Amino acid sequence: MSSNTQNTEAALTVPVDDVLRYELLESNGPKNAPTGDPVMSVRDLNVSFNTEAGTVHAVRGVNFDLWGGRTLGIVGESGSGKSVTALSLIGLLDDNAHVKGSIKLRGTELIGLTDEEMSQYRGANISMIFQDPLSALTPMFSIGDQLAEALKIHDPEMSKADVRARCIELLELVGIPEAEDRLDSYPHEFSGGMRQRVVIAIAIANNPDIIIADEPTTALDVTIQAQILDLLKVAQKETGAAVVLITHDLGVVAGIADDIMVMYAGRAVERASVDTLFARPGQPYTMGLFAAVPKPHMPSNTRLVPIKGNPPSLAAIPPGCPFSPRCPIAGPECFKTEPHLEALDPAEGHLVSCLKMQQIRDQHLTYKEVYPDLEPLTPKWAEVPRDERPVVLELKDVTKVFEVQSKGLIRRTKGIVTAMDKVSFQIHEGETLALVGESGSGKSTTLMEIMDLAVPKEGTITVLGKDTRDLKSARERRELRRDLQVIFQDPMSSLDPRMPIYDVLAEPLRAQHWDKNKINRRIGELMGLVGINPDYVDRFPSQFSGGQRQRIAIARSLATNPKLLLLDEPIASLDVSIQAGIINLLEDLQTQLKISYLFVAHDLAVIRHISDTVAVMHLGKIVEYGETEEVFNNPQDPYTKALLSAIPIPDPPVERTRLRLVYKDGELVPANEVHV
Amino acid sequence: MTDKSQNPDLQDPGKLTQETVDHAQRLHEAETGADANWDTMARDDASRDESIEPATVIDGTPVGEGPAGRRPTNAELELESQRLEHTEVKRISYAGLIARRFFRQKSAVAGLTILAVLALLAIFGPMISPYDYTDPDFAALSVAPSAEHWFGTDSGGLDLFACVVHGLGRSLVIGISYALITTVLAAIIGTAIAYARGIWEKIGMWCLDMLLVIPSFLLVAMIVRATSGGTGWLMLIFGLSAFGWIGYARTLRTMALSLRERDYVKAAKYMGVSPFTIIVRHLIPNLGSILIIDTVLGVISGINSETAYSFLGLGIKVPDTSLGYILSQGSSAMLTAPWVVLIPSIVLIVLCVSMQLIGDGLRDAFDPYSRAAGNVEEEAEDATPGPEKLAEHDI
Repeated sequence: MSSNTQNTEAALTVPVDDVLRYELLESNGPKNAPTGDPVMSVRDLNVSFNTEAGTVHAVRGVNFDLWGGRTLGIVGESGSGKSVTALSLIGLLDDNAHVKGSIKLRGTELIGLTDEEMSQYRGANISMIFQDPLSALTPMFSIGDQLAEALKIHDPEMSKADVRARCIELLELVGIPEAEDRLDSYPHEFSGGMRQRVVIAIAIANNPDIIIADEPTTALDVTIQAQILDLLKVAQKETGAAVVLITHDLGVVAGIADDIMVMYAGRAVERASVDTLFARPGQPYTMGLFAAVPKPHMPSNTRLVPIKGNPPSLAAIPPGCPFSPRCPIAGPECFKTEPHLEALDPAEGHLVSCLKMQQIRDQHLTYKEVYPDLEPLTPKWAEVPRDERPVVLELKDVTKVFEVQSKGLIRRTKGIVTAMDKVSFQIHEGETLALVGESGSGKSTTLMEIMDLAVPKEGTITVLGKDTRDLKSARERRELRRDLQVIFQDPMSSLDPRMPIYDVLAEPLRAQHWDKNKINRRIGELMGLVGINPDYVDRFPSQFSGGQRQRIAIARSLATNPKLLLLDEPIASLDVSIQAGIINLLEDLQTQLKISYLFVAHDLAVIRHISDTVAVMHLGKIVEYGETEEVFNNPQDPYTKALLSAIPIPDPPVERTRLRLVYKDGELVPANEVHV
Repeated sequence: MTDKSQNPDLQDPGKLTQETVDHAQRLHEAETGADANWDTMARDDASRDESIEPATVIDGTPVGEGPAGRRPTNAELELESQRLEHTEVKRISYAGLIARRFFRQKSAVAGLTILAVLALLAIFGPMISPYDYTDPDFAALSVAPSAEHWFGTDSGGLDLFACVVHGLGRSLVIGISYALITTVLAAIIGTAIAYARGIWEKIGMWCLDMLLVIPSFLLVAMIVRATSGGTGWLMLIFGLSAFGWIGYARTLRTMALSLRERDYVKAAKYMGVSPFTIIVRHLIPNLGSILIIDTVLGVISGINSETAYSFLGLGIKVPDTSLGYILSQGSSAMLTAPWVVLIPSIVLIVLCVSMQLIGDGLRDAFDPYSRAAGNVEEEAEDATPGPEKLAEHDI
């Protein structure tokens, strides 16, 4: 090993510092250790912003190198500084950002360049793939024009025919069928996944040295995500570029990254080859991330391990290790000195920033030792068999169609869209049914029909034994509403920003005409139940973190003691370390209060963990319905099989080698046989 | 550096406010006008020091013991971590924050000062003036400004200072009342139409469009003409307001369209909260910043309308007076007694400019992306020695 290192170092023309020395040892991945000169070197990168709250230190002293053909995964939660790091590489930060340190592209310093000078490198040497393909393309121009613009801006001499030929070549490369005809299409004629392909085509148009992908698949469905990740690998192979993949999803990096850097509070807290990091995480925060993620490929018989608390505000980073307030093994020294990256395993270049590193190394600590165990999952309602428990919600052959009307004075019905096609399922007391499907599958429509207590044209909706058809007065409806509550996806928008928490929680109670003292008592109770300090009632939603806000939203929905909760992607917008806490809370509440959940989600790992039964929806139909473990272990419908094979698994060797299936016109095709 | 003197909170390193830097969130909130994320908490160094103490206790006890010796539930874990985090949180109220951002802008402060001076003049002017605006001094017809008549007199011998301060008061009252009435009407009707959906929304919009077609100028003129000189200004407020809110209600409806899709509005609906309560409790407060700015700017349009009507002889009439009326009287004597036109014009312009400055300042104060947030270089100089070195790395 050491002689090997000597050789590589000899081949380098750049000075080797500590950062580079350890990076050259990162060999425990699919591509072994990096060789040759790095394309880009980032040293001591610091970015700060001035805000109303004071100076926000978004990135603090980050170092890394990028090699052509290798992928660096930057993992972190929102506010960890990962996106700011990426944007500073390409010089796209806000005007009020203050950047210090050094970013060298093949020896050329990029920090300090003006916007104009920087734009020579953008697209040509460094390109970017953004999170949301819907807003990354201009709706006013055809995709052919947008591709051509990317080419011509860096090579104005290119002839029209050359540009056209190259555009077609690029579109074919990213897997857009009938590329020649699609050149004149506009972005709105493409689906989200197709648009992301176009964005990737633009990014690789000029054979860049570096491709920065900032959460490229977060806005996409899981089957599309798998295709886009495959495509990223193709793009990397074609261009030989270094890829920086920014994500919060450990499953996504497992399959594609070679090296991983974990960021927390603006700093890198751990860095290693992908296999090393997943096998032996050495920093309590990284360990926590692994413990907090439900595993999609294993049945869940233990509880998730949440990381308590919230990430610090970057405007007021506490002294000492920023993770110390949340760290279960933090000692007094952790609150005083901030650690730096040091070698946990010098032979593998595994770097960890933790004052307790010695202890972790010597005692071989894993997350099982570091994080406190929670109460084991209590079997739900073991005493009564499922069939004997009352049914709280039943849908029978519910069909919902939307009529598409033509424009003009006389609105003729042009056609119909079937959003729900004979949907049937039932939920028993204290049970969780997960409704899974990709966007457009009709799962949200189903949820809204139930929430509206709608009377369907065909079929019946029965809530707590009452058919919605038999609800006559507004009073009856209001009384039923008390037992039926909803939790929305985004706690940012489900709490009125102008109302203090007290009023937020009091609203449902006031609507049911409770008296003041009773409301007071109930609010105290609720806040304890979901783990929010009852003294915080006078604060506004903006003063809480995302996870806390979702807890408040849950408290609000519990206020009237409902029997059935409809959860619309309740954890999709939360950070990984927060998700586990919310999932556990929902489980606790179910055992404490005997509530039933209808859980709408697209994250199959979470669903496997939390639900008892699963209904898979596809194009308005329920294609598979059964016990969760049964569906996951032995899926019957081809669509379910494709869906399950697309989930990224947070285990690099497994993720790299497994066979992925693609659902195509009712049949299953192995992914490698599809054109991309 | 100058900013800092106006902003004591930034000078004190112990009083840091907290804010999340999450870009997506900021964008989200900026788009929707929910400027909530500066509404943040401040914490003391003292409280942070305290947080070290309990942590050492944690280190001592076996991790993961719940209160009763059993393993903790998730809610208990969270409560424990909140106790650790910080004991006391001081809040800058939203209004306080806006005020701070407002007063950080020099032009806005200038506007507010001018308005205050003008308002004082309108209130106390009549008391210090030796003449009344209805009493002509026949010994001094069309005299230039002098020690006797501070602003001069007009051709009828009326003291211009007395007339201007009275007219200024009249214009201000009309402008402010107009702005308040139209804002309230537009807010309630606009959001109600947006919230109604379906057939009621269509009917509401149709009514608004019909009202817009009515020749309001003529109607207002007729209403005011029918009244006597003493109460004419009340009818003018009524007439202007009755037709002034319509276009504005249309704008507010459009803004409320996005608010009505918010989850908190849906959540309230599913809780069984009544539509009127939802409008008053959720929709209108979340349009607050727009309403405030438009009220201020509405004052200008109120004053301008009043001036125009009076100038044409359709608004304020004798014995009452207003800036517009004085201007119409003086326009005939432009060459012989220019001060009769110039002085009220200047007062009118100064008044409108001051309102405009205030409106601008408010808009910047409410806008999370404006320069009212201060300047990053000034901050950074504090943090690191050597501004020269910084300049070189500055993008």
